Amino acid sequence: MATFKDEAIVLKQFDLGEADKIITFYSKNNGKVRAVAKGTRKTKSSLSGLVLPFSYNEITVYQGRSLARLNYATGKFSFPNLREDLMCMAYANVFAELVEKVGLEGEADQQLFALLLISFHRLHKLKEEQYLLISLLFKIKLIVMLGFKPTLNRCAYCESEIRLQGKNYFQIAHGGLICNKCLKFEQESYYQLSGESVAILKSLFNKDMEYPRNLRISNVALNQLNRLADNFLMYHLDFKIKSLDFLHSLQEMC
Amino acid sequence: MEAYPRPMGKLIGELSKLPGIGPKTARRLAFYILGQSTGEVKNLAEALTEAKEKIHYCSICNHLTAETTCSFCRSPERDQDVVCVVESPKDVVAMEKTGEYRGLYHVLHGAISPMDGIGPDQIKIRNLLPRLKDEIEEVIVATDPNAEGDATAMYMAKLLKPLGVKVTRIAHGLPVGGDLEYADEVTLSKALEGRREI
Repeated sequence: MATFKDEAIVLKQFDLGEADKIITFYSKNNGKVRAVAKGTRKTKSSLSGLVLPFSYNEITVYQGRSLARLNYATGKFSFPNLREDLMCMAYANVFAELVEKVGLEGEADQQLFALLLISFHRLHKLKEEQYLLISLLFKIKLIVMLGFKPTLNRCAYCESEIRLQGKNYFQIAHGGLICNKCLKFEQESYYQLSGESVAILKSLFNKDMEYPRNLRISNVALNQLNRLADNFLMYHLDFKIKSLDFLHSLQEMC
Repeated sequence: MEAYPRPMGKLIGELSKLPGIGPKTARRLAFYILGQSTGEVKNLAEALTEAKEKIHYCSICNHLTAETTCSFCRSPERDQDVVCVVESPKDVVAMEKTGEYRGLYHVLHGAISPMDGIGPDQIKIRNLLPRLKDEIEEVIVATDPNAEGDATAMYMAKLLKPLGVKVTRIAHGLPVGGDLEYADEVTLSKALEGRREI
C-alpha cells in the first residue's frame, strides 16, 4: 500500500455509488491505473473538471488493498477541443478505447503513453481534414508497438517477392499482402488495395512518430486504410472497437 | 444448516440486489420488514408491484407516467414552444424543483457514450424529431455537464439545427455558494467563457 505520483491521461470514467466515479487513466510510469475519485459527481467537487475524459493531469493515487483512490490531480493540459468538437471527440474515443484495451495495469509503456499524448495533441491542434491521417498514424504505430507489423514486401503466405500493381491483395488473417498465385487458393475475404495505398502504408510503417506534412493521399484511400487498420486490430487483438460505430454514424451524417 | 429460514434468506437475497444495498444493510432491512405489521408489509408489496405494473414511459416525452401521456405533456399551462432535453426522469424532478422552467420535457434515458457502445440509436433521441414539427421553437439541452452529456448535446445540435430549431445548452460554471479558489481550471475557464454583463 503506497501513494504514488504520475503523469496520466484520462481514458474513461464511470459512476460508482451515489457520488463517486471510477476513473481509468493511462499513466507514464504505472501503465493503466483505475482509481476511485470520491465525490466527483457533486457540483462542488474540485476534482470533477480534472477527471473528464482525455485530460492530461499530474495525479496522486493511493493504492489500497482493493481499488486505488485518486487523492489529488493538477491539470497539465485539458484538451478542450477533444470534448467540444463532436468529430474530434469521436476520434479521441477510438484512441482512448484502444489504449484502454491494450494497456496493462501496473506495466508502464512509455511509448504507448507518448503515442496517445501526441495523437491527442494532433487532434486538438490540426483541422478536421487531417483527422483521418492522424487516426491512421495512431493505429499504424499501435500495430508496430504490439508486434503485429504486417508483411508488405513479400507474400504473407508463400513468402515470394511482391511487385506492386494496380490491384494488390491484403489478407488480415495472414498478416500482410498475398501474391496472385496464393490469391487463387484464398478462401477468406481479403482487401483490395491500390498501389498508392500500399506505397503509403509502407512509408508510414517505416517512419517514426513524426507527422508526414507533405504526404498527399486521397480521402478514399485514407478511409480504406483506416478500415483495414481497424479490422486488422480487431482480428489480431480479438475485440470489437465499440466507439467506431459512433464515429461511422457521424461520418455518414457529414 | 442454514443461518436463516429459507423465506428470510430469499428476502435478504432480493434486497441485496438493490443498488447501494450490501448484505449487511439487506439483513437490517429484512429484520425491519419482519418487525412491521402484516398490513404495512402488504402495503409495501402492493406499492412495489403497482409501481412496476402501472408506471411506464410517456408516449410523447418518455417521462414516467401512469397514463398514456405524462402530466407535463397533458397540461395546457406549460409553454408549448420550449422543450428541455434531460438524461433521466430524476433530472425532470431536479428541473421542476427550480420552479423557473415552465416548458415541456424530453427524457433521453441515457447519454451517448461511444466507448460503452451507446450511440444515438440506443437512447431516445429520434422520437424528439416528430415533436419539432409542432410549435416548438427552442430545445434546451440540459444533459449532465460531463463527457457523455456534452457529446449528446453536440450530437443533438448537429441533428436539430438544420431543422431550423433554436438549440441551447444550459450554462456551465461555478456552483452557487462555491469557493473560487477551490474551483478546478476547466470549470473556471467555462465560467469565464459564459460570463455575462451585470
